[in-house]
Amino acid sequence: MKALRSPLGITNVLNRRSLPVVTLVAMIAAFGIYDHGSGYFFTQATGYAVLQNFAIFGPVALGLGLTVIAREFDLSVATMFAFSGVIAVKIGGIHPTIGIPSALGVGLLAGLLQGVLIGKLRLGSMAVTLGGLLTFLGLGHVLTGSGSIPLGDFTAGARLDNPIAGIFSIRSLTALGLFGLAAIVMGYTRIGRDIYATGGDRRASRTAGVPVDSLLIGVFVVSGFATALAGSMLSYSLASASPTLEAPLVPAAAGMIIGGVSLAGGQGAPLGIAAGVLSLAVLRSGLVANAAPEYLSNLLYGITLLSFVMVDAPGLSRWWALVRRGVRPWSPTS
Amino acid sequence: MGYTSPSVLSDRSSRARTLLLRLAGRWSTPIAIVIAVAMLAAGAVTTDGFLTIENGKAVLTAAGYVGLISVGMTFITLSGNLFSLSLATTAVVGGMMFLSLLQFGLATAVTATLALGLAIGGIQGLSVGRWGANPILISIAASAIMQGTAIGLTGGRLVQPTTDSAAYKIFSDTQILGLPIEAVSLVIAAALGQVLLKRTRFGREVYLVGSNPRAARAAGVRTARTIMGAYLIAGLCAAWLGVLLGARTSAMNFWGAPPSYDFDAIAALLVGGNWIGGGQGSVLRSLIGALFIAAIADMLLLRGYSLETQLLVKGIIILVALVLNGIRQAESAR
Repeated sequence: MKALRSPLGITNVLNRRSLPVVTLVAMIAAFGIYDHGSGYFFTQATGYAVLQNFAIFGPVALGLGLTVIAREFDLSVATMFAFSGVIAVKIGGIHPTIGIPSALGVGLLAGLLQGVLIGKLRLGSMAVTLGGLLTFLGLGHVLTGSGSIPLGDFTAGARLDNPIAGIFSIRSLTALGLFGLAAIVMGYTRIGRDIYATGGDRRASRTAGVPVDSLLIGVFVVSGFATALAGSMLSYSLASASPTLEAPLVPAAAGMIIGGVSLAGGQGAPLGIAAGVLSLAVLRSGLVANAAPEYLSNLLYGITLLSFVMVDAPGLSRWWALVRRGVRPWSPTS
Repeated sequence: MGYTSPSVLSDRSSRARTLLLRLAGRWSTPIAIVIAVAMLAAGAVTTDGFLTIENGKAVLTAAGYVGLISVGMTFITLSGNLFSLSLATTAVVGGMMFLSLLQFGLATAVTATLALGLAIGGIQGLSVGRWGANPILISIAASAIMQGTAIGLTGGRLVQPTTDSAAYKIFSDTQILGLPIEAVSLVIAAALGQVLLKRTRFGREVYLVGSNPRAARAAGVRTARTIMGAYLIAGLCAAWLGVLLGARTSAMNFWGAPPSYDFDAIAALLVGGNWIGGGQGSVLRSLIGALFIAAIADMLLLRGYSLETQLLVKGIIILVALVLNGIRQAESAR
């Protein structure tokens, strides 16, 4: 795996594989040092909060990340998140055993439709998933009459969020399980290798007999499924569904890029994404433990995403390489 | 992306798809235009009160906010950078800036707000144009940073003008030819944008960069500068919308979900027939798209349909526009 051409020149230590883990350790260490024994950070409550945050935007980051590894982009997660919650509450009511599977079905179907348009008809994923985004937004408004539906019953949410072994819950264990499954498929099966190949060099993959079209459909199905899982479970936790529930697109995208996923495709791994998302979950929980205002973590998520997208940009590393060679990079033709 | 190897072309299903796409690519757009015009004409004749001058003004005014954003967005799309999801936030932040600076005089407030818009657009233009950063993620990150900063600075409170002078009401009270300032702004912005695109060197460069950045660079176009120009225009349009919003509402904050101007503007762009991949389209088309959507919404309102039905119809129109766009994209990518 190619080392990240970091402007800091510490390429030997930081590469796509180590960066997520280094970020996670650094984040925990930073809060640990700031806390130095006052006992606000290293608590069971913080650990539980970190994993609950992980359950909200982890699956979204995983779904988005898999489409980016295949060199596509699933913009529709932005509204599928809220839409799946609406479906779950509308169909299942207070019964999550009916609501969540229905939402998952809708997520699968939506992913399948978008995937067929992208994989079989070879339409651009940005245009198709923009269509998905607008459709789910509109349908969500139509189903709810543009309002929020209160569930009026917290038992289902309480069951999903009930602490298990202190820091886990059904919700976070489900998210962790999804990541474990994805890690096995991406790391140890032919499907995983073929997805990396599809994202790395599609033309060569197709010539070599990789079923590119089916794999593309597959990653969009997984993306719809994962997002619907996170969205519908959150709706039961909040005991309400609203078409305007804001999707955690910023932390999901940031976590995915910290996790080593390159926007150029073909790089990144589920466990890396998990570490990237966990870093951001630690950031939020650490700030909350230190009583920082809510907007601060959103602001830091935005800054993190901006920085990592810049570092990922091809032009910046090219520019840095020129500077190091002593060339004046501000040439008039660029 | 979109590459089809010879071995795949000989495949039967692939040949059928090619034929289908070619037929659809040639005939779908003219048919869609005929249907759209027929629908509009039939609706106009059968809906009481639609074909009046007063209603025409209402449609133009309703299209004002979204139209202004879509004029700016057109430059970003034409330059080959898909779209931006930060323009609505720019407008809201601009409105807050305008209202809070009114104490230093109207001219200062307007100038500073427009400068803010240029700065926000400029930073995004720099990272996308010079460094090749992903335009969607940059805009999502920029939006989160602006929102976080604005909430941090205002403490989440309503921003209201601290001055007693109601000089700013000149914007909301002025009418030209019986049209409110929103409609006048849209007409002027669209006219200026169209002239800039069709009659200047910058405009021609935007088309060239959008349709083929390599050829543009080879032809000596400073692509980074052209893309920067597109983002500056978008930022300026959004900031002007901020001034109008501030003057109209007299109080702004970030409670609840931000307005959906970005998605609505993208919808106007697509319905107007601009190609999402860049290089094809015009400001005039975006204006037509925005007016078409506003006219349909107005017609449904006059006929007494519910808000949800309006949303659903709008969604269907956008979906059709997207499918047509996708077919064109797939057809030309071969």
